Amino acid sequence: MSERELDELQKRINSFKQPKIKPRDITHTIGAFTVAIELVAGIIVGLIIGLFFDRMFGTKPIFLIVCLIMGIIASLKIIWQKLNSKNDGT
Amino acid sequence: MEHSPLSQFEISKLIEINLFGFDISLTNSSVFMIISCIIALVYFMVAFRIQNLVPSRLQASAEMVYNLVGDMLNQNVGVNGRSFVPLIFTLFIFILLCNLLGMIPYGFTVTSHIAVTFTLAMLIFLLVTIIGFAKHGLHFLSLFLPKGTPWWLAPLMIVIELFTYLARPVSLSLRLAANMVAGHILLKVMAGFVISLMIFLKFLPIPLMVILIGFEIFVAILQAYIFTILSCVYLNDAINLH
Repeated sequence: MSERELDELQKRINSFKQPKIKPRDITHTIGAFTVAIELVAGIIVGLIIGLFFDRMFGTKPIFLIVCLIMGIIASLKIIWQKLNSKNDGT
Repeated sequence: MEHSPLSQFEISKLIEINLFGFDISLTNSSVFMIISCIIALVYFMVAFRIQNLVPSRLQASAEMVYNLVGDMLNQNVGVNGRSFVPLIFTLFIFILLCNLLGMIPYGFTVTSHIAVTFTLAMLIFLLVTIIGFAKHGLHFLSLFLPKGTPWWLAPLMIVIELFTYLARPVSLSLRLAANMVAGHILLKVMAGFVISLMIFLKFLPIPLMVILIGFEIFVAILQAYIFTILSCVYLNDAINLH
């Protein structure tokens, strides 16, 4: 094998070794199912954390309400991000 | 209640085992998990028993599955992700086989139970958190503060980001379980309509059922893929912290 051929081969090996980072298309697809699941997930997390803090400090509904609102905002934020990333075409 | 569409998700104890007060009975769920593990082990052992440079059909199929996961990690995590191939590969094969075993008649869909999927999601979540803290130390907490946040909004943003981070395993497990449950219930309800529909439509409903089952198999593979690729994305967040 000549020097030139070896260089060629090394270039090809290097190109295989450096993976190109493609845009994550499948994870950012948004459908009705995704929206529903993200909403439910946020509410469940808020509910569990709120109930936990309420039991710890004995302040029955305060933390539950605050954490539930936070959870809903968080889940809306996830959906918002996914919608935005789809509109950019990335 | 014998033919309820939900009766396929019932867990029944096959062998009762009671260990120090803990109920670790062998259920139909655990039997199907064991079967999927055995299938995966036997398949890859047979496929890679004789390793040729020019692969046989079986070896080529096994290498294709491996490359799928390897490329997934390469594209989503980068070069540092190569060391997580064994974990992600095991996860993918386990979920894929559990989903597909649920598609055979009288099979039990293990992944239709949130107890199973949440355990898998929690494994990924804890791993990602531990890796993030081990790799970046306390700098990992900068994940919770997006760049360019005004100082007066920072406390609120930190709480919201923490909630989105904690919602990950819940949404990950819910997505897989809900998809499998919805698909299997739909399949059984539709199959219940077939007999009465045949009075009017003759033999048309049967090919429709075949199409529906084909779609369900597609969903089973797709959901295993989505679960795996989302784990890769979460790993990427922990490893390549920006």
